[in-house]
Amino acid sequence: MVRGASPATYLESILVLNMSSYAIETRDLCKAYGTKVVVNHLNLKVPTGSVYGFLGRNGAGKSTTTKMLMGMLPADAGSGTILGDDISKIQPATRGKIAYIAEGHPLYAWMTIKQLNRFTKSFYQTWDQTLFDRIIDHFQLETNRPVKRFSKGQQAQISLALALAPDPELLVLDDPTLGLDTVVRRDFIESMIQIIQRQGRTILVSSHILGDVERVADRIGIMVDGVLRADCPTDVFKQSLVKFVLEFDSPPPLDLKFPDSPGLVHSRVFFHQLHAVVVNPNGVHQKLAESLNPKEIIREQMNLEDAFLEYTREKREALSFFTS
Amino acid sequence: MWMIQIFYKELLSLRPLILVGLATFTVALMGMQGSKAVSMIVNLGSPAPFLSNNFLTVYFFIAYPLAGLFGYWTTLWEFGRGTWLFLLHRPRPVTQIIFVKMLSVLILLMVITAMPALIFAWYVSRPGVEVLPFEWRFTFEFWRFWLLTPIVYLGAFCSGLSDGRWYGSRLLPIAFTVAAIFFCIAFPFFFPWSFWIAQVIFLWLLVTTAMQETKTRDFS
Repeated sequence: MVRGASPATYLESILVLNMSSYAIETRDLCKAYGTKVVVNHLNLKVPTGSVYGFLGRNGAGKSTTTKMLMGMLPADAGSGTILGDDISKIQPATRGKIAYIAEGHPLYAWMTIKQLNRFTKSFYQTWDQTLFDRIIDHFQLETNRPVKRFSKGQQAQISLALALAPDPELLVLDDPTLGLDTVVRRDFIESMIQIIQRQGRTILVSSHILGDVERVADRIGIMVDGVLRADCPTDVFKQSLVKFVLEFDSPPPLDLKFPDSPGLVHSRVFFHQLHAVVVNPNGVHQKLAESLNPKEIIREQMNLEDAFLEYTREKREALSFFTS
Repeated sequence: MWMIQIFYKELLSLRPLILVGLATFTVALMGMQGSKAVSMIVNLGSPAPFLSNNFLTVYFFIAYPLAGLFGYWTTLWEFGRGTWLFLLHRPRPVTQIIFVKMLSVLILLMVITAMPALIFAWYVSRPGVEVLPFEWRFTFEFWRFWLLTPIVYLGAFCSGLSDGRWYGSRLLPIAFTVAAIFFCIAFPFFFPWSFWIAQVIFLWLLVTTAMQETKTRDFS
């Protein structure tokens, strides 16, 4: 105990320590298929109790990472833990605390919801049947129909109900809205937020649709070509990235670049403008912008989607502003 | 409880194959009992049921391919639909889940392949059906063939489960199965006891291979 600290303070410090632990943590996790490196020295940390948006374009390595985290795919190198267990040897008890919805919601399509419920329930010590029934009722799903007769969106809803009934501590959702149309996607996300959020529950949701994640995640990680290029709170990411739009009277030379400076992500000429994306801009960037003698300098704040696009557009190997 | 659910799931998912298998057996047995419709296609008539090789031939050409289909169906279907990810995320050891799945299908297969023989034996044992009096010991050779069915099933199961190219390591369990079946059929003529030892060794090897595969396999 720290000298002079009261027992209450000591207890608080322990609580803080526990709260700051990670539900998921990887160290230099690697995976390659042949010569193609899909996940490259990944150091991912998902704080307990957070909703973590795991972002990246198609083929960035999100699904491969998720499968490795769930012990479904052996890693080539590196290690990781999930709820304290080694990802290569997840104990059944730990698995019981994790809900995993794989990409595409794989379910036994010939089973009815009733049969699927009975099948899945048989594996668990605790199963909240009332919650399961409530979710199925909420989505107005007929329990005697085989899963294959439901739409993709409804199959996603069935997956969600099955995943939540054991009252998991951690939810790993691999692109849960993939293949759903805009309306169904929005409905699904809104219902998901309503249903799954409870105190202390950790959620890792991977997606390539930024709008979905923006409304749910309090922290994001961005994978670019198998490398984690950002890992920070969602708001920090959005607020830190600023686009300088330098307006000129006539089209500037195509090879005009914003002067190299710390925090510069990239710059490009766009008609009469020079666009420069900068992380945490300061007076130096302002002065550098002025040194190019533009007619006008506009600072644009971006939404997550634009920020993501700008951040991952170019110079991929140089991006590391949001990783520790 | 979960084991019963896995058995039930396998029973439901294998329904089409079970029906096809039983229907084929029925047609073959009808042919053996002199059905004109079947005899027009293939002559399966037998002067002494079980003592002549006709029933064994029928069994060989129906039950063994069926066993192979069972093995591939239960593994490749899960890969094709991505349902391994759903099944193996249940809070039980992966090896246990796969072992129970494998065993469930094996039990189903053994029941389904034994049924036609039992029905046929019961039918021919009734007085007046056959010229020769029927004795159950006539079926001994059949049961020896029946006991080899798990080797075919497990070979296909290992092949379906293994990671690799179809013309390479994936076919190894099948090559092993063919050799094992040949060994078990041919050698007991010279060394009768070798059948039982070989049977146990081959089954043990195939089950161990399947379990080993579950520890390293990419199930995604």
